[in-house]
Amino acid sequence: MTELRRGVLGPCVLALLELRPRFGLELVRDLAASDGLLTSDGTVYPLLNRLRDAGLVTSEWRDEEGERARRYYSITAAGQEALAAFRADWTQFAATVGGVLNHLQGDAHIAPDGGR
Amino acid sequence: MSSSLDHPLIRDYLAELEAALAALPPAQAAELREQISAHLEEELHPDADDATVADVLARLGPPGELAGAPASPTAADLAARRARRRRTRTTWVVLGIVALVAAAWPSYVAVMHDVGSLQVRGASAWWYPQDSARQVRTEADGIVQLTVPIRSSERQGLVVDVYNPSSWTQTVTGPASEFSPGSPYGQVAVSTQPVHGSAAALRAATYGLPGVIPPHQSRAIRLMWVSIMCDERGGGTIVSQLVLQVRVGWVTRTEVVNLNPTWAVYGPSTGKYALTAPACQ
Repeated sequence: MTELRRGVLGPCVLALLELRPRFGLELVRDLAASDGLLTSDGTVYPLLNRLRDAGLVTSEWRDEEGERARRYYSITAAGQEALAAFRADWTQFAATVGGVLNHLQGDAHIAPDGGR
Repeated sequence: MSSSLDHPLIRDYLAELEAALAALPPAQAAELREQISAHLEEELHPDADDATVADVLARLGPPGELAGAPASPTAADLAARRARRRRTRTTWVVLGIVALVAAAWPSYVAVMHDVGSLQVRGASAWWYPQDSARQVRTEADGIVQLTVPIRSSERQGLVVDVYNPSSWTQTVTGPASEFSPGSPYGQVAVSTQPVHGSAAALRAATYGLPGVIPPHQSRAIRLMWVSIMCDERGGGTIVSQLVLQVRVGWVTRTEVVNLNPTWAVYGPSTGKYALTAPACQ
């Protein structure tokens, strides 16, 4: 499951940034709010750096009045394309996995009878 | 305490992180240091108790893991991985083909070299009618020789019909070497169609180079030269072979086509190529 979590974390970050730019801790809190998505809060930061290196997000410092200076992350056009592609792949993948899992569950009930 | 970063647990954590970041490129390490520090400053009140700090640090994850955290593959990573796999596959296919060709090439070359050579068959003639008119035919020990007077410094030539006895197309690409009397090089051309019949038909054909001779077919080969030899009275130059560059398949080989009859230009060279002329000294 850890690998699966890591695999979907990037698209989840992109999906959050698609709604609006966010700073690091904000992203961590939003992701942590979804149970089981984050294995540790720290994994978000290397991931953000990788997404930025890949051109999928950009970052900028914002120093707003009454707030501490924060680095905000925004999704890029390439990030939106990657997210759209992932959404399509994920829908199909989830349906396939779901189909197999449900089928196996059905077999598990049938097998004892078949063996008699 | 003025900042949560001054908390002893956090100082220890950051020191450990610092050590782990040493393995990363400086820019990447600085960025991660800044992100983690910002996270801790924002997450923790400067007066947070030990339990709260410990909880936040635990949720953040071990520093070593953070510095070397395998990040989620991005779409760009996946595309690069696919491209790498494609490149690897293509490389193996190319290497496989190269290996097969390398293994098969010697056999292929040997087979191509064993393909039957062109053979003289059918009609032949001096190219120019005035030479044909003065031709003298002699025969000794079964060898026929057709001799004409040399026309010094003028163009002379002959045309012979050759047959390709093999099952491979043979393409004449030119003369293989310098040969007399076509000094410095004779000009070779091949008829574009089979020629049957007389000298007139041979002369009327269209010639070109390279000349393709399909399997089991005949074509006329024309050899032309300018007679710039320095022959003395009683001497002459005999053409008894055509030495040709011939391409068979992917292999180009030298073919020696023995002529029968043989062809000779005879008599003293004159003018610029007279024996006493500077060109012949």
